[in-house]
Amino acid sequence: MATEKKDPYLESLGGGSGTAYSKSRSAGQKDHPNNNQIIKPSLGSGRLNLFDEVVKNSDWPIPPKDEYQSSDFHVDKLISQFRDLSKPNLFKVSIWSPLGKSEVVNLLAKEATIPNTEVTKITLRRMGTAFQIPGDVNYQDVTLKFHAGQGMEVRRFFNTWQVGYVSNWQDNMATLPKAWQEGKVVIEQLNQRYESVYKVTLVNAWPVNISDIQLSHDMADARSDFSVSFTYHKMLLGEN
Amino acid sequence: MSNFIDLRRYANNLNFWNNSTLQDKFGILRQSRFVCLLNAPEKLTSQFKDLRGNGWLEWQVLAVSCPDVMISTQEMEINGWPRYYLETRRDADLSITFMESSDLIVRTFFYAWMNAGYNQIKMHRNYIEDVEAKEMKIIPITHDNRGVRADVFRGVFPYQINNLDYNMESGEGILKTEVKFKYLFHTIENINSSEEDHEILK
Repeated sequence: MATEKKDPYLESLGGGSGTAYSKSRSAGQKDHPNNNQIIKPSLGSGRLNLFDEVVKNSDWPIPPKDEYQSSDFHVDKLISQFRDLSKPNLFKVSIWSPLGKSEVVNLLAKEATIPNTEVTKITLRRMGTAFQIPGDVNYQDVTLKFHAGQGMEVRRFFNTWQVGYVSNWQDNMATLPKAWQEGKVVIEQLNQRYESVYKVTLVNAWPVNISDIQLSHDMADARSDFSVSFTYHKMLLGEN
Repeated sequence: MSNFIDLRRYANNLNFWNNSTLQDKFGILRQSRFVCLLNAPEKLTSQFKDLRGNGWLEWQVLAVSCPDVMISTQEMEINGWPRYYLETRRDADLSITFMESSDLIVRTFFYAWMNAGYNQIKMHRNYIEDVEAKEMKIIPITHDNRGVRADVFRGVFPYQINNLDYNMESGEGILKTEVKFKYLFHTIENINSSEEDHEILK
């Protein structure tokens, strides 16, 4: 015959048995193996359990204990349904500038970002309550990181695009419409077989910021890299 | 008899959600979604047709200030009590801001329009009927790009082209041309109503 395990801490609170919670459950309630380990603090024998009292008097739709104590999760289920998950180091970047496409630039892209999608909200207030209404789509700049290349080819590619087309700094010439009409950036997520499974296309993109390159005699093991921030007119998901 | 009005139903935000125009059949309108249908006089647009084609003016619109409607009143005092009489209706100006081009086409167009009415070199003035636009419509558009109601202006002519502000210190502004119009009638109509439908013109 099994003896009841008593909790000395709960006993010290008010002389309770320490198993008041498990005793107070209805007889027809399904037992969960973990229930035997759950010991809820009680104010002592003969007094109501505060937690049960709050649940009983509440209007909130609290699910029966069976629902939130059981779960159909199992790691075998996860493995059988998903052979693998997408990896952040499998991606491809393709960039078209007004000069055309450069395979070197695409290959030397070392970091990319799948941009966030955001819809602005319009807040309408009435009597202190805020009603949130969807507003316009807000596109934020996308930053890619590149190796500069052995002959600084990648850096030169973006310099020519930005300085020569977006705004001609040397000659103080006006912006050419071509600079933002012909730029396109495609970021693709690849699977294990290097197939494109998700694609984001930035339309009418142009480099708004080319970052600096840190040079130092201390950086013997590093390679020169820099980041380029693109701004764009709109984003297409899964299209060319 | 109670000495208060029960207004609880107005304080309930669920009633606001269900009864206000938030749940309107065409959706709530936004400031940024509108269309201007501008019909300039035919003889003027024909001069510029080669440059931009028909309907080019509507695509240059950036902002519109749809004017207020105001009836001026006359205040009198009779036996010590104030009385009001409706006097005349005075309409404010219609103001439209256009995006300017490299050849200042918008400014040139409205300059030619105003010159057709009052030419300071040849010193002649035309009747308004000869230089007015028959009809202009400002239409807010819904989420599915449809127009339902429109502010309609009839007998429209420009009377002021606003100044262009050039400034070498700022590299972030674009050139805009603001034009102010006067008009004979301002009505708010269904989008499909014709001139014959309107009471004023009957």
